[in-house]
Amino acid sequence: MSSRLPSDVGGTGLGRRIDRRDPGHADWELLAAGVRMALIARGLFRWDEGRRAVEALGHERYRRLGYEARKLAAVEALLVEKEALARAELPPGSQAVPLAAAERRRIASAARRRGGSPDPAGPSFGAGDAVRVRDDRPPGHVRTPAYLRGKPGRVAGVHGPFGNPETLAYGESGRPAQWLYMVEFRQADVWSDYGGPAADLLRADIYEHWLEPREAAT
Amino acid sequence: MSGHDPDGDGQAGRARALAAHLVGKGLLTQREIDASIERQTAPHPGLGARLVARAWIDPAYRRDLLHDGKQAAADLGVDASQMTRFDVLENTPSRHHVIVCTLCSCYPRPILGEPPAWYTSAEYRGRVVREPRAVLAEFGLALPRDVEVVVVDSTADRRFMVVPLRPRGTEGMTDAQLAALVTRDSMIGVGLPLTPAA
Repeated sequence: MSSRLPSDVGGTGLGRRIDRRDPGHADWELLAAGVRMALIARGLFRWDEGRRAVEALGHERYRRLGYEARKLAAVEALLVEKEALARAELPPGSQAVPLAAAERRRIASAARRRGGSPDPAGPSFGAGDAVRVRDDRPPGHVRTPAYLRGKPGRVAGVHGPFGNPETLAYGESGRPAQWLYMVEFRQADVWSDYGGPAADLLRADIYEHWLEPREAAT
Repeated sequence: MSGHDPDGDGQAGRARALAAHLVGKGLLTQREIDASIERQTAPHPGLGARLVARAWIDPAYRRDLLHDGKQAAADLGVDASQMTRFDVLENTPSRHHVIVCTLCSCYPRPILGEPPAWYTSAEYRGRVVREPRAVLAEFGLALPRDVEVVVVDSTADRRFMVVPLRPRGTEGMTDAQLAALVTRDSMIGVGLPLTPAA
């Protein structure tokens, strides 16, 4: 699906061998990670912004660059977005894709509207509730994998309110908080061609505004 | 494609240039960078193995670990405070858990250290949610069909670790002896612990 974020790979890759070598980290990768974590510790940006900036690289860069290289490009983009560095100060060959402030605000506003205000009295769903993941296609950062959209599941746990990653990713506060649920799915309900036993399950943590009630057949 | 990038296209030079520039501008100090690298490289799977070994020996600790992973880790001197939530999943003879982060690379780093390259690969993240038994078989783990496989996708702020089944023939072993059997892969769910030497 072209509307998928490049990082949203759940369900893809069939037939591709997993390279199980574990080469460890090169010095530059440790350095890049150290810089990134130090900037987060300083409060320059949040995890959610870092993920969004990786997603903004687009499919081609995402596939071509390795893990740390993607994160390095994301950090560079955020340094420019936060006006800590000018674009011209980035090292030559930078793969950074900074997002203009107006665009960040636009996407965050849309995300805030979708999130809505949670009921201060508590969560809308409880353990055991039959739910369906909404098949929405918002423009920005989300933490609901494409492979679960439209799928039926059951609430298996209520985790409490968390900052909304869809607005945190654009530099906002993440408020109002969204209730987070552990949702359990039968694999046979997620994949029409699932080859394992009927009892096999999948669990994911899903935010309330991505869930709708459903009439359970069972 | 593995999760790691060869230095072929100048990434190393760019990373070093950026670090030097940030330090030169006063946005970071070298000390902060060094401390950050140290914090990242200090944890290792032995910390998770310590928790598992204790849970194998002490049913009360197992309950605590499953109920509040962060507190139970702290009780054994393992600092899990950087994680918002740490949820420990218990394998049973009829249920086997395997962990993934399909969207990025969420992993219980304070407990297990850095994830292996394959964990962050598009191939693992893509396939394990869809054909977990085939992926486990590639890792050498063939589970009978009457064992339920539960794939846990770390999509939000919870981080996960698996307590694998205690191997047979380990009665009377000490915490240290048991911890030595607990592999990183068994705490992710793609492998089993080692068995004691015959």
